Amino acid sequence: MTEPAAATTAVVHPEPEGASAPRPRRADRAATVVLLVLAVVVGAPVARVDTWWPTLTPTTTRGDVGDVVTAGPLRVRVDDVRTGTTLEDGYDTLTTGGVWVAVDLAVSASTREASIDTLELRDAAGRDHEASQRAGNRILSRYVDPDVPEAGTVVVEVPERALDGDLVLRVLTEHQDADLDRPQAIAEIDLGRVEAPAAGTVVEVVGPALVPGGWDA
Amino acid sequence: MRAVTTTAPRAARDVPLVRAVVGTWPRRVALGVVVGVVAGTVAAGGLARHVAADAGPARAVAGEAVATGPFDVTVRSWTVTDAVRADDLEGAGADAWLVVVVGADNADRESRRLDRTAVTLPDALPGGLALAGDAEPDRPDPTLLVRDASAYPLLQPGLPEDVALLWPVTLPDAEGADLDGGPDEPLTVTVPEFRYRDMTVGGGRRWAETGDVVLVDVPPGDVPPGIVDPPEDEEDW
Repeated sequence: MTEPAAATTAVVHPEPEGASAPRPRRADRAATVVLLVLAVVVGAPVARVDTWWPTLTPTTTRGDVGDVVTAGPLRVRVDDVRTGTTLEDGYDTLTTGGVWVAVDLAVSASTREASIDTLELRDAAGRDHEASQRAGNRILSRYVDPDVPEAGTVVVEVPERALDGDLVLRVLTEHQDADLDRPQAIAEIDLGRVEAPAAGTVVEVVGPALVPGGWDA
Repeated sequence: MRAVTTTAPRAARDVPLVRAVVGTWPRRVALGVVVGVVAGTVAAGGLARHVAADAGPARAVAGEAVATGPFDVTVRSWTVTDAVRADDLEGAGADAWLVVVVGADNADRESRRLDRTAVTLPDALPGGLALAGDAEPDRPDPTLLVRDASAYPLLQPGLPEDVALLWPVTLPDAEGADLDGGPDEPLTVTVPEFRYRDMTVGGGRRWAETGDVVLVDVPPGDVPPGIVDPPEDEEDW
């Protein structure tokens, strides 16, 4: 069983004749060093391999109210933000235990037909409030053409405490699944501080319509 | 043995008891081990009040919020009715819906639907009721927002809402059943708890059941008016 070690020693570290006693110990040290180097050489890239892969990290583009913000396949511009305690969405009158936030925006594709996947409001505490599924929110289901903006209203239901700080509108352009997938591009538009509505304020939804003159108007 | 003994500190030499305990290094090591074991036992909760294995799951009273993880769930009442989604009863092979009303406060950081397993019915339902068709005790279907009967409501973080959970059921005497009075005995339901954890398969994180549950005795109650079908003439209009 000692022959391979002796043979290895003879190849790696030739010893003069008569010095056979220390060979096994030196061979062990050499093997240890080789294994350590091997562990570092293999382990270092393995630890970094995730960073070499094509990244799934979302790209985020930021802007303010009035800016045309391009995020991947979409362009978005927020024109106005309104609030109310009751919503008239064109079909029903909807009450809430919180506040309705209505965001008037325009949206177009950037290169080819596209649509918004998810729209949400992030409050100052980092909580994300997705667009209401109780209301129609028809602009969210429309496919828009490149640089042919359509305007409409998206309504989000939030607790009143969400208005204690700034709000950020987040428009996600690809399927969002917090467990498995990550969105490809996000437009984040700073809405600033949004005033709470007076009791009984009704907010109405504006239906989707082409923006006369397009983005240049 | 002399080789492992040392001279005790002056203070220890002056006190016989202390000298007896820490007079030599073996004794000091032994004392350290004892102190370490006691401290470790206390830190690990070893001196906490004993809970018998047969004590069963925790209990909460109806109307008390149960922190399940993603939601704070308050089980309010239960009833049986055929005045809700009456058109869907035949397809479900049911005579009526068993309705459990809960308050749900989304404690997460994002909008989410009430977990389908948020409330589980007992194996034996009171009053001779039985689940109809493929219905499962831990899968209410549909779920309705009490406020306006929206189906499978998406609940916003920090914005509590009442949600009605519906199970299709058959009645012991469907022909002569009178549902107007509602049930008159409590229903014991199970509320599971969740923990936000890494998934070993598929990656990512999600709320997963811990296996711990809370039992709630739910009193009978009325059908929330917001989920009752509108009168037929209004519906036709």
